[in-house]
Amino acid sequence: MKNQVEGREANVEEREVWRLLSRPFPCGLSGTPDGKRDQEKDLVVDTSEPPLQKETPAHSTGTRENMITPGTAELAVAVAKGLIKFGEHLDRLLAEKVAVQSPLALKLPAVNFSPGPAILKPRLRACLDQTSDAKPGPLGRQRRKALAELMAAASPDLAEMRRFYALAFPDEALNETNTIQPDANFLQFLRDAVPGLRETLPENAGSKDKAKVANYRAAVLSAAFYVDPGADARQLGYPVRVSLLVVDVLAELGAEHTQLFVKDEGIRVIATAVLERFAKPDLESFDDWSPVLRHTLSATLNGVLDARLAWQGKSPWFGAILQALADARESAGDIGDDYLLGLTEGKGYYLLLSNVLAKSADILDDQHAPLFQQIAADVLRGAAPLVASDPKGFGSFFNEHWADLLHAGLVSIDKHGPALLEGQSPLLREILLASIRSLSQTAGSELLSRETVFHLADAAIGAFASHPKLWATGNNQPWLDEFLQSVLHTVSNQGIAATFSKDGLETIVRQAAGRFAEHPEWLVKDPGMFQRVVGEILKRFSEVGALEAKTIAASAVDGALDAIAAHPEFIGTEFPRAIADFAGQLAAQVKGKTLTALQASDLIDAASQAALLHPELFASPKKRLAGVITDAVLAAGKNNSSPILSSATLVPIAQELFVVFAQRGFDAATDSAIGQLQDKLVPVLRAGIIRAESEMGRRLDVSALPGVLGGLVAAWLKGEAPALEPNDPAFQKFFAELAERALAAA
Amino acid sequence: MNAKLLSRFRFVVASLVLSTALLFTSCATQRQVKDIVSASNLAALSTELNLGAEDPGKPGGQGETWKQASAKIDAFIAQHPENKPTVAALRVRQAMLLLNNKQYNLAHAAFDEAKLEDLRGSSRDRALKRLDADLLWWYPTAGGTLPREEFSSASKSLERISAVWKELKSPEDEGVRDWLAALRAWIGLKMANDADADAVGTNVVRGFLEGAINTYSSMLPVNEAAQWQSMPDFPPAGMTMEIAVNGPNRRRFRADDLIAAARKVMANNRIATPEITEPYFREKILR
Repeated sequence: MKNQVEGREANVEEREVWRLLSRPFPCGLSGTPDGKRDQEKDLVVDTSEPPLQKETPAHSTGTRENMITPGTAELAVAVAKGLIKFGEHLDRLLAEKVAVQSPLALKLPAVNFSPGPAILKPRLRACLDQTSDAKPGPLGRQRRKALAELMAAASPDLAEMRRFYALAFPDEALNETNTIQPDANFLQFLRDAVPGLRETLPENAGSKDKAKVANYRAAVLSAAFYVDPGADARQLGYPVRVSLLVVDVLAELGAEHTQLFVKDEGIRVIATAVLERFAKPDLESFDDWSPVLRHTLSATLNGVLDARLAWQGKSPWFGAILQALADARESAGDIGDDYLLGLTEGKGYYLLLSNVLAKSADILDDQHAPLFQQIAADVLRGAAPLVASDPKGFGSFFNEHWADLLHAGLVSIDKHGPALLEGQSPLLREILLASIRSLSQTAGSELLSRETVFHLADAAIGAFASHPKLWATGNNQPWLDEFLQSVLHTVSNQGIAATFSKDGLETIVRQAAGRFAEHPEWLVKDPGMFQRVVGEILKRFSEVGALEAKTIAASAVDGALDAIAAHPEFIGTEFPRAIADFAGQLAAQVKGKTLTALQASDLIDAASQAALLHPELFASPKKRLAGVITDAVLAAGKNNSSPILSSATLVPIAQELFVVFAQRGFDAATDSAIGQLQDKLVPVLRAGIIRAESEMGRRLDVSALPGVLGGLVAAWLKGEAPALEPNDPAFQKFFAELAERALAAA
Repeated sequence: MNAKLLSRFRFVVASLVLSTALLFTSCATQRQVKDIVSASNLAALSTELNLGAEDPGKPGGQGETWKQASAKIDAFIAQHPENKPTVAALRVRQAMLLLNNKQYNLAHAAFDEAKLEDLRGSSRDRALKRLDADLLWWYPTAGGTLPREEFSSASKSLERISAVWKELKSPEDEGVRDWLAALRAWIGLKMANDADADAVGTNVVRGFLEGAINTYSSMLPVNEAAQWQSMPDFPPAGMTMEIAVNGPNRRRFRADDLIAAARKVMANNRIATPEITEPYFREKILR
């Protein structure tokens, strides 16, 4: 029997199981013949089976092949241990089920319905009337006196009245019907019905055993009062919890014998650590999904941390991050696991441990990885109290973004060199800690996306790294505060938030933050520049409430930042406001459907380019020259039904005029002249447009129109244009020459 | 399947056989709790149903059954304090057992040991725990006189019972919902029986009775009382116990007991013409 399974010969492992079942485990079961544990031979089960894989004859005994190998024996013992644990825990779990979900015999107490005050009062008063001190009746003199005193009250005490009533009228008071059993009817029915059921008792049919019959009757009566346990408010029912118990036992088994299932040594170490952590609490004790999932996540990360030595030397960066997390966990004491779990809730964590790792190995060598690790650990430790004090606010933000901050730190090291890591107080650590402090103190951080936080941290680190003197002043916290708050005030501005969709605003802010990260020198000059450029432009849209605000605003921000990148001298000037004003003006045109959002974007681009050509004219919010020119072009085209003047034509015309004015418009746009410029420019443009209609198809096409009108305006600005009369031959000749030149140039 | 995998598979199968064998040998705790449940259910009813007297096989007789059942619970919890849901459920069970056996202080202590957050597995136990103060007040009061100064406590109890009852919406809650509805009605009738019209006014006394019955009838499933009215003979001849214990019949037994009590209360405290809204109850109480 032992050597045969379903008519075939049992193999080695089956025989060994039967052997284990059939006799006690020998002491040296898991050791070598000399009694010492031999790890290498344990592994033979998984990796080098030859002796075990052979189908050894079942009857051959006393050979090496027929002995229980240490690996198999250890597994069998582990299985047995697991089964014992499973049995114990299952027993406890099912015992809980019995306790919680068994019916409970509930019966209501018998209620005393003795006569009430309305009956007792007249009866007792009549009793007093019918008796006297001389003839006190059954009460006796003392009690009658006491009753008289009681009944003198307006509302005598009921319990006292009942006591006297029992004394005076014992037959009435002791009436059994005064106590009502709430289940009297039901009980009577049961007493009548149950004896008849005796015959239906399968085991006792015909039984004359009084004790058994009485027991049965008692059980039936009791069952009749059973109340079910009702609804179970827990998410995990007992079937699921039994499954968790199986998982728990298997995890423990797997943790102890990972070598049987995983061959790669590095992965095996991690798998063991994860499974050990996973199996630590009794999983079946969870009755909601949430703690199960939290535990799973926590066990995974903590297991990886526990096994971090397995990664040593493979990736200094990975090792550094894991060690930093482990340090943070340990420094957080009892709540370390929870803190760590919170950190893993941020999506950036996955990015950090996956995409970034490959790149980071090239950035940090063995020498610098420990330095980064120390900084990362310091940052995580430094943030822990801030997270604990505001778990839903800053805590939630930090959990989401800590990885972005470290990622930015890593990128900064790549950009600015490992000097950031060195020294008693490494610059990277100080900047990150200062940034965290600043972010924890200002509302709105929750509105920042992961990429935005990354860019902002990159920009801040870049500013300090590229301008060490800025840090050396020791006045860095206010600088950081101003920078970060300028961003947070922008994104948390109510009007802005209401104007843009969440995604739209996030895109603009993220792209702008990316530009700041590329130009940390902007922040050195003006830490509040983000708000002064991005914030001001976005605010104009919230004032106008334009549709398609995102398209125009993104273009305005881009254009402004392009111009600033080309002309850093714009920083600290009123150029951002000039662009913001122009953007606001165009937003109103878009809202009024005079322009489309794309046309407005093109105009903002053109105005920004014009600002590069002539900053004094186009970067001044006071002159608002781009706005004046645009208005003039739109006014010239107004009420003109000519097919050559579509909105598609007007925009190139305005763009051309920006260039013309950058080159020749200084006198026309002086502070004293700018007020009249639009009124003067409109007739010039109208005269040109009328002539253009006549010349169209002769020496002019639509594509050449902006250039020709630009030439006309340039001539006008130089004072070389003839009288602006479309029917005047001199003007006609002048315009024809402009058109011919344009045609020749094309 | 290659030989190695096949070998592993057989090994797992053999392990499962072993596990099954072990499982059958390790259910001691489960058996212990089953015994506790059975003993406590019998002991909870033994006094008033005379079950102890009818159970000559049980040592100790009628007066001692509850002590043994309660001691079993204490002993089990002392051995297994770590499983909170089990402990909490057994403490509620113990409290009800003790209440039924007039051990009010011990019942109080048992309720105190049961934590509401550990009773999520049973809406019945949660409801009992939430109403523990009311139960601890009502059980010793029901068999005596309702003191004048406790009428406000009684009114608040009615409100709390109604509040808990309203939250029991699941079909599985039917049993405890019905029990609470009856509990509330009996408290109301007791108030009507013991209230002094000279002190609180005739309308108030009548209101206690109307509130008890009308609220109870409103807690019945829709049209159930109407169906009772169309079948005046109850329980019908030949009704078996299995049928008698189902929801509608159990409720009708309770309703008929309440009706009988209401009639007695009217006579006891000279309550005339209460306004009973539900026809079945009105007809039976006022006839």
